[in-house]
This record gives sequence, structure tokens and C-alpha cells, in this order.
Amino acid sequence: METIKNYLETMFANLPDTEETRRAKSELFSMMEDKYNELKAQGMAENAIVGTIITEFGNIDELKESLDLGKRDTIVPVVSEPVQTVATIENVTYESEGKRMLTIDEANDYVMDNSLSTFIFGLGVFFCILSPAGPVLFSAFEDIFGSNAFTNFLSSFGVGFLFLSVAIGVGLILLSGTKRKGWEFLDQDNCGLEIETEQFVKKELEENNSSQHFMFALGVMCCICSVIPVSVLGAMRIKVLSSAVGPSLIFVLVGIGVFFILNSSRKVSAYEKLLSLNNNPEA
Amino acid sequence: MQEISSDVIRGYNDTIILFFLMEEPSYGYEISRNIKAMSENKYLIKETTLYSAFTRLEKNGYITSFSQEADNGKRRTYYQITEAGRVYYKEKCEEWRLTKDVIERFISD
Repeated sequence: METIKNYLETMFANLPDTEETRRAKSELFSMMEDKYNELKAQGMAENAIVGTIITEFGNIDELKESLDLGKRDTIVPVVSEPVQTVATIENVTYESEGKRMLTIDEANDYVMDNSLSTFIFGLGVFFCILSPAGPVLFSAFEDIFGSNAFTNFLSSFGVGFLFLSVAIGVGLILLSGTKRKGWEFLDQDNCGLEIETEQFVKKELEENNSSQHFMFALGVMCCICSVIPVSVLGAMRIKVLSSAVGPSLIFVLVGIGVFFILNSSRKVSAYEKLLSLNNNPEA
Repeated sequence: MQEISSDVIRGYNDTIILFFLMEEPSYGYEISRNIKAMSENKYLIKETTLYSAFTRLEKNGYITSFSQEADNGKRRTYYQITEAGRVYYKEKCEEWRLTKDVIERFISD
């Protein structure tokens, strides 16, 4: 399979690096891969498979014509052309020394780790926001039923809840950072995406875009709606509901809302980060 | 063995591809395999020829492409015929009947 990949790279080495040629390369690779797998399944020897695939590949000039590249090569005798060709060869082959290329699996792992990290971070923030709900809810019983051993116990339980919730929240936020470990090389090293990976990431990005908007909207809605329970329950004249449950629900709803808003972009931002690797040409 | 000259068949690669897409959407290798089977191994379409035809057909609005995951998890580009593509296919069929009729008259043993 490696031989075929190299063959294809060589074939494309002289073509400019455009969206169209990338797509062509990825499509041709996909067809050759299918053919490879089928011949392999039929028990053909590796060498014979490679031979067959290369013979049946065809002619790259034909492809140039259909991509409207053939004419430009011959008609435009611009002096700067050769320089540009050198530059494109480096871009197209992706084999430049020391450049770390990400495979589809690596990209997937990165997105998974990244969204898990965001998820944990969001959960941490949720607990921090939720924490005041404890005192608000449990100290209200003292106001309603007067001070006695039981309501005192409930009040202190509420305060305990506050600290416990903050502790869990901070713990989760710290934990979320560890999930990003191991991917720093994306920023430090010179990285790029393999052509198939890039196609894959672009498609995933498209598919995740709508769910991002939906989650974001849901989050905003939760935040806006957070005042509804207070006003509705407040109007009900039931003391437990109006002064204990209602106000504490604000924190719950805002917490959920912020959680959704933070999580809405968890995958999309990872995909965009990956795509940006290819868009910044090496310095 | 006598082989098909690519010059002769060139004008009909589009028709051959559309023939399969008339039935259902399909992807590159499947079409290539079907052509081989249907022609009883007499015509093997080259990868570049096939892909060039896809690009041309898509530019002309005869087919559209979309991406879909296959059973084995591999992402593939599928091609689907458009209404204009169906019309074009019918025209090409007519054209071929005429061509065949004319050429036949000049073929002798």
C-alpha cells in the first residue's frame, strides 16, 4: 500500500496544490485502495497487486486536462513559473523533512481527547456555579420553620454542599487540563494533515456544525429561562417553593446553560484547530 | 488479443458511467468493477479516465457527489445522476444507435 501511495505522490508532484487536485488525489487513492483490498482478498501477491494497480492507473495528463491544468502549463510561459513549481512540489508531497503528518486515527484521537477535556471542564464549571444553590435551598428552611435542631442541621448541610461542590468543580477543572497533555506537539512541532485526514476532518466539521448551533442555543435558552422558576414558584405562595426551591433552581439552570454553551464548540473547535495546521504554511 | 482503443471509446465513457448511475448512486471503484464485469473483462477503465469523467460530468451538472460512510467504515464519494444527466444519457443512446448504424455499413469481413 505504501508503494501505491508513493506512486500517487510522485504522479501529483508536478501539479499545483489546489483544492481540486487534493480532491482528485484523495479520490484516486480511495479507488486504488479498494482495488488493492479486493485483489488482496483474492489472494494475489503483493507485487502483482502493485503492478496491476499501476498499469491500470492511466495517464496523469488526462487528469490535468479535466482539471483545466494542462492548458495553463503550456500556454503561460511566465518566468516566475518554475519557482512556483518548486514551491508547490514541497506542498503537494507533504514529505518535507521533519513535518509531522497526522493520520485520520490521530485526528480522531485528538478530537476525542479535546472534547472529553472540554466536557470535564464544563462539568467543573457547572459544579462551581451550582454550589450556592446549597446554602440558598437549605438555609431557607430555617426562615420558614424557625430555628431548631433539624433546620440548623439543614443549614450547615447547605454550607457543606457549597464547599463540596466547589471542591468537585475545581478538581474537575484541574483534571480537564491533563487530558490535553500529549497534544502540545501540535503547537510546538511543524505539523500538517495527510490529504485523506484533511478531507475527513472537513466532512466531520460540516456534520458537527448544526449540532454546535443547537447546543449553543439550548445553553442560551437555559440561561434565559433560569428566572422563570423563581417568578412562577414565587407567585404560588407556597413558602418552600418560593423562597427555597425557586432561587436555588436559578443556579441549576444557569449551570446547565453554561455547561451546554461551553460544550457546544468542543468538537468544532478541535476540527478547526486541525485544519489550521494545514493552512499555516511552515515558517 | 485485440484491445479496445481508448480513442474510440472515449466519447462513450460518460454514457457507460451514467448507465450505472441511472440505477442507483455509486462510487468510483464499484463503477470500475461493474464496467469490467459487464464487458466480460473486455474493457478496463483506467482510474484517471474514470475520475476525469466524474469531474467533467459534475461540471456539466449531469451528476452530483456526496460523501457517505460504507459498511466497513470507509468514507467514500458517491455519485448520483441528475435530471439533466438522465436527459443527456438518453441523447447519447440515440447518438450511439445512429453511429452504430452508420459504421456497421462500412464493416466487412
